[in-house]
Formats: sequence, structure tokens, C-alpha cells
Amino acid sequence: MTQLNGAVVIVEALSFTYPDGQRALDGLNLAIRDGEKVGLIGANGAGKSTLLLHLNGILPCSGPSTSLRAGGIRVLGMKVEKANLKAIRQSVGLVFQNPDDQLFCPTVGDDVAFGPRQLRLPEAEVAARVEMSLAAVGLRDFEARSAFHMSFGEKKRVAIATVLSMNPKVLALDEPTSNLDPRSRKELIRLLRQLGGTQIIASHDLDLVKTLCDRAVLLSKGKAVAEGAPEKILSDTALLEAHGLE
Amino acid sequence: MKHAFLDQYAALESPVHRLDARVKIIAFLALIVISVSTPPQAWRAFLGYGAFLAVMAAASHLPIGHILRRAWIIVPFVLMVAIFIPFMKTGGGYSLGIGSPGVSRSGPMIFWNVAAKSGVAILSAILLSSTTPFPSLMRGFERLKAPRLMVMLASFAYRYIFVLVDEAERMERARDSRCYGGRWLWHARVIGQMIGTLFLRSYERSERVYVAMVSRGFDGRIVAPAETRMGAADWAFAAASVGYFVALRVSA
Repeated sequence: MTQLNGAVVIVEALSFTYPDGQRALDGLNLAIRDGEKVGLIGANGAGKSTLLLHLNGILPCSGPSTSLRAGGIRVLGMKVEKANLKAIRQSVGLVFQNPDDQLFCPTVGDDVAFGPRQLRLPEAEVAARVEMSLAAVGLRDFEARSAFHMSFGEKKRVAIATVLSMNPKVLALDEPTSNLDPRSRKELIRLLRQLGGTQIIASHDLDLVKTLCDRAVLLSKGKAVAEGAPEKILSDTALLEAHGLE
Repeated sequence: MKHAFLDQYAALESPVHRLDARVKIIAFLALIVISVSTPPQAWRAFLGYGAFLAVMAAASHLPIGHILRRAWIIVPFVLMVAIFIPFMKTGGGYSLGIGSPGVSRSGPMIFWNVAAKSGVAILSAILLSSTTPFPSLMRGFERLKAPRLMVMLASFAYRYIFVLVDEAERMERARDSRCYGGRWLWHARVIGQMIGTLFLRSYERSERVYVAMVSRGFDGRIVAPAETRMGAADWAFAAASVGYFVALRVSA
């Protein structure tokens, strides 16, 4: 924990056990600086998605699982707890792996407007944000379309637009390139680079992490076992093999 | 995978399509209610209702085949009900016609009553749903203060019905590619398990959808966008059509 100053997300000794007894996070420490792109890598079940769900308070704050957590998280100086949830969910935009889960409204425009409307923003501001977000992901004029009739790559982009419209400080993406064909994947990587800002990307697409991220964090069994420059981590085949990534 | 849209022709360009969803809901709902309350002897009124539907269908540029096909789906159910009606006595009670197969005199009138009224209702529903994109239709109901929960349920159903169908199709394909065959009992078991799996997957999906909603600020209430105003043409259409139905009904 060296750079606590300027860190937008601080995870301290975070442990989390799912109600079925599966220990997903085990004393995890992590600090993410402003503007940094961090790749969370790790095998299936390493705790990547669980960590992302903690970042905007979805996991520990809902229901009986509160007691299953130890340690803490701070986002932009706010402790992740019930009183701060509204502000935190606004500042951490979570993009889920499956866009069909994220796009639940009848039209793309409604989906992108969902967040701003929940924030009770005036309708003119909502419309402006919808336009801005769809333009940012390169899908102008998609407002009236229904998510079901779009390609997977387009759905992924819309999913990103739905959180961009909330003006988040941190983007947290779960497997952004999974199920994408090579071209859509390339376009998505270009998009993420363009968007800039602080990004936390959980993926086992090691190449994605190498081309996009400033830092890679290797998770294994709920712990951060290694971190550093992506080239360094990803060229350490012995390390990757030991943690199920090679 | 490609499926037929529920609102296949809703994006056509026509005077009917351009009307505000609320106006269409009001007009067609009024037509259904008023026609149901019309005594069956008033055939002139039904002629008037039919004329309205015909004009709407013509103005909407919908292919006539589409309307008939849609209507055909519901017609057998109506006929099933209607077929038994001539054997019903006016006071209620059944006479299945064994022994005395004569049809009571009020029978044909009851049949006409059911057929005409359900016909009006079916055609109204088809015209409404084929000239209004589903999202606008939902928004229209919402603005007319239909219960929010029901509108939300319908919207989610519209959004996820095809996702569910796709999921079922994928499971079917996976089953068939592993040599589905054997005795009937075995089939029943496999189908049962598939239904169970489909239910569980949908349940899990609903949880993920809920999480996605919560992470974007959902707090149990979906905030609706501000209302747009209905134009003069919308008001005029609503007043004219409802007035026309009432006039027909009153003169009946």
C-alpha cells in the first residue's frame, strides 16, 4: 500500500465468502490510482468478478451476505457502505460480462437513459447524456433499436454506453472481450483506449491486458499474488502456469 | 437467431402509425367496451364498428394477409366456445342435443353475439399492436396510468422472451446432437429436466438483470421519462372515434 495518495479505489484486506461456503476473496489488498488502467487477471474462480461486484457495493450490501465480509473498500474516499451507495454506484460504472443481462429495457435509448433517470436528472439532461454516451461508443442513431436485434459486439458497446451516461469516475468491466470476433474485439479495445479514465478490467484475455493496461494484477484464490507492468507479469510463464493462466 | 417481431409492421409509415399510442389505446379500448355492451340485435351498430376497423386497416397500410393470419390464431378458440353455444338454453344450463338435436331459437343469436364481439376485440388488438411499436405501446399504457408493475412485467417479457426462446433452442440442439431417441417415458423425463433447467437459468438471469439494475441506481422504482404532449390531430382522432362509437351505441 504505497500510493494511497491519489488512489481512487482502495481495497484493504478484503475477504468474502459466498453463502454456499465458497471463499472468493481472501485478504485482498489493492490500490488503484486515478486514470490508471488495471488488468485483473486470474483463472476462473480467482475472485475477479466478485471483486468487481464489491466495487459498487452490490455484494456485501445486499441481504444476509453482509456478515460474510471482512476488510473494507474505499471509492473516491467514500467507504462502501449503505449510506454512500448512491454516490458510489454513480461513480463506479459496472459493465457486466453478458450484455443481455445489462440491457433490460425495450429500446437502447431507454437503457442508456435508465441510470440518469434513476438519478432524477431533468429530461433534457438525460437526452443529452444519452446522445453523448451513444456517440462515445460509436452507435449514434441506435436509440430506437431493440437490444435483441443487435450483434453481440454492438450489445457490448451499448452496455458500456449505459454506464457512461452516469458519468462514472471508474469503469469496471468484466470480461469485455469475451465472445467477440477478432474485429469487434479490436474495435472494443480501441474504444476502451479512447474512453480513457480509470478502468478496471477483469479478463483472461491476456493480450487485451498487455495492449491496454498500465498494470496487471494477478489474482489467485482470492489473493493478489503478483502485480506489475503487464509485460513483466505476462512474460513470467512459470508464474502464469502456477496460477492456471498458461 | 432471427425471430418474427411481435410488432413486425409497427415501423410502417401511415396516418395510423403516426397517432400517439395513448390515443390508439383509448380508441380501441373504447371500441371493445362499447361493442361488448351493444345488444346483438343492433346489427347496424356492429356494421359501424366493422366499418371503423376496415377504415383503420386500410389507412394503416398493413398487409391484409398479416391481419388475417394474426386473427386466425385466435379464431379457433372463439369457434370452440361458440360451437357449444347453440346448445345452451337461454336460461343457462346445457342440453347436449342427444335425443332432441334441435337448436334453440336464441342459439344463433348467441353465436352471432360472441362471434361479432370477439371479432371486434381481436381486430382491435391486432390493429393496435401492429401499428404501435411495443415500447411506445408500453409507454402509452404507463402514461394512461395503467399499473406500473404490470407495464414493467410486460416490458421485461417483451425484452426477454426471445432470449428465452434462444436458450430453449440451444438446449434442444444440444439434446439432439447427443442422439435423442428411445422410449416415450425417456422423452418425458428429458423434457421435464430441460424445463427445469430452463427455469433455473431464467431465474439466475433474472438475478443478474436485477444486479445490473441495482448497479445503475435502481431502488425499487423505475423513473419514467417526462410526458410528451398529444398533438391536435391526436385529440381530434380520440374525440371523433369515441364519439362515433357512442353515437352508434346510443342509436342501437
